[in-house]
Amino acid sequence: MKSRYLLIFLSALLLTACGKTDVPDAGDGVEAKPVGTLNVVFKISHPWIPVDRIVRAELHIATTGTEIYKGNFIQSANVSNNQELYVFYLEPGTYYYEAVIACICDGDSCSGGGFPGNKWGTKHVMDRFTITENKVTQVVPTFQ
Amino acid sequence: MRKILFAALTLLLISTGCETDIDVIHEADPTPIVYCILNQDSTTQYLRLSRSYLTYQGNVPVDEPDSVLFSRATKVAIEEIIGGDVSNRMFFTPFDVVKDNGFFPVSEHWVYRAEFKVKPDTDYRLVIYMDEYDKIVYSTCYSVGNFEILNPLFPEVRSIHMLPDHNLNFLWTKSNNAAIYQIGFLMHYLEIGEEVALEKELLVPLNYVFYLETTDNRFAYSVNSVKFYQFLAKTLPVNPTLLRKFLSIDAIIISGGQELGYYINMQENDQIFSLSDYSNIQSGVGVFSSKVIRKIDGFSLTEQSIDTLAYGKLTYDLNFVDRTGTRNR
Repeated sequence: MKSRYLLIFLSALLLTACGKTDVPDAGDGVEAKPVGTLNVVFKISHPWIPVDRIVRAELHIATTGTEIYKGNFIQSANVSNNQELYVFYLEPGTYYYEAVIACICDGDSCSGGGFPGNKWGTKHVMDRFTITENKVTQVVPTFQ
Repeated sequence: MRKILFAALTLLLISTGCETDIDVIHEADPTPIVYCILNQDSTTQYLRLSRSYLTYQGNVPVDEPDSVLFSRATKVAIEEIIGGDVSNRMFFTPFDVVKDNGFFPVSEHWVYRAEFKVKPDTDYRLVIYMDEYDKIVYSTCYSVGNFEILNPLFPEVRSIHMLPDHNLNFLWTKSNNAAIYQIGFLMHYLEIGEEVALEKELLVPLNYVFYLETTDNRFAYSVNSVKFYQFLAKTLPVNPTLLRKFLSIDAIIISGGQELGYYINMQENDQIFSLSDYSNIQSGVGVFSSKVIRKIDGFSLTEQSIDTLAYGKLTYDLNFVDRTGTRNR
């Protein structure tokens, strides 16, 4: 009989000992903004300069073409020669990108290949693209 | 009668024959403490040799170099071993060092120095002979292999974008026999006072020292940009009378030998009540290992990164100028 009372007492204690814990909603006041994805397939090709003598130099995103010229980018990538695909997450809208490649040949090969100056001469390309919510937009910079 | 005399004598011997006081602190031969990390990018190698000493009730030992350092006559040599034979033997000589600020048991201090180039992927043996104790301390290590940084490269045309939207990825080839790599930056900047501008540099070692056991030929590591700004905020003093201007940044990767890898791994995993120090010094304590440093100099930061350095909440008080060379906020 004693053990039954003890069991009832312990059960009551367990049921009532802890008050309700209010768990705050982590998302209170914060709403995730809708985004779309931009894939930049940053290929390197050239009619006659070997591709291993051309390096990716810059890749930027801006809201307008004017902002590109001013250097007011909203995102930039750390480009490398070991990576061809660059992914950006952006809110829906229209944007501009700028991609830059540089020639690392010695002598006058770079200027012969259309890169201004010689070694470290750069070529730029800029274009407009549109981001749609939950969609992937793909651009392929093409250098003349 | 004879028995009584014998028993009395035995009792007398037992009661007086044994010394019951225990010498808790007994000065034994000191333990050599040796640290030598061969720098494969330098022709000057250094070795630090000190000795253990006893303290009683936390007393600081007297300011005598003899209590912390072995005699200058101690013979220190490193042998290069090729094909099982000693192909070269390099002797170290004592070299007095100027100490930094802080507490040191003695004011005088010297390290040992030798001029030689360390070959990659080669066996080296350290031998220390102490005349005064007739003691030999030795150790071996296998030097790490060369490696190359594959990214970031081409600072002539690339800037480092130090923001979390696209963190920088380091990429490098494997360094043979290396068990640990550390990534870092060396930032060059100007400190502009009212009368003078000084060019300064700050080493930014990223906290992440990591241990790798893999057969891949390439390794990659993504830098946490926020930690870069956090380190600057913690390290550079706030001084409202100074303006600072970012100049350039060098990317650094250091590879360390297995012994150094084990040692740092032990330090990282050490529990508060355990004494799990790693040592590869025979008849002593310490580490004998090697390292290779690779550095790509002279990157600029992207303009957004320079503005973040100037006006970001972590580094705002450091007074860096923005991309236009001014501070206008």
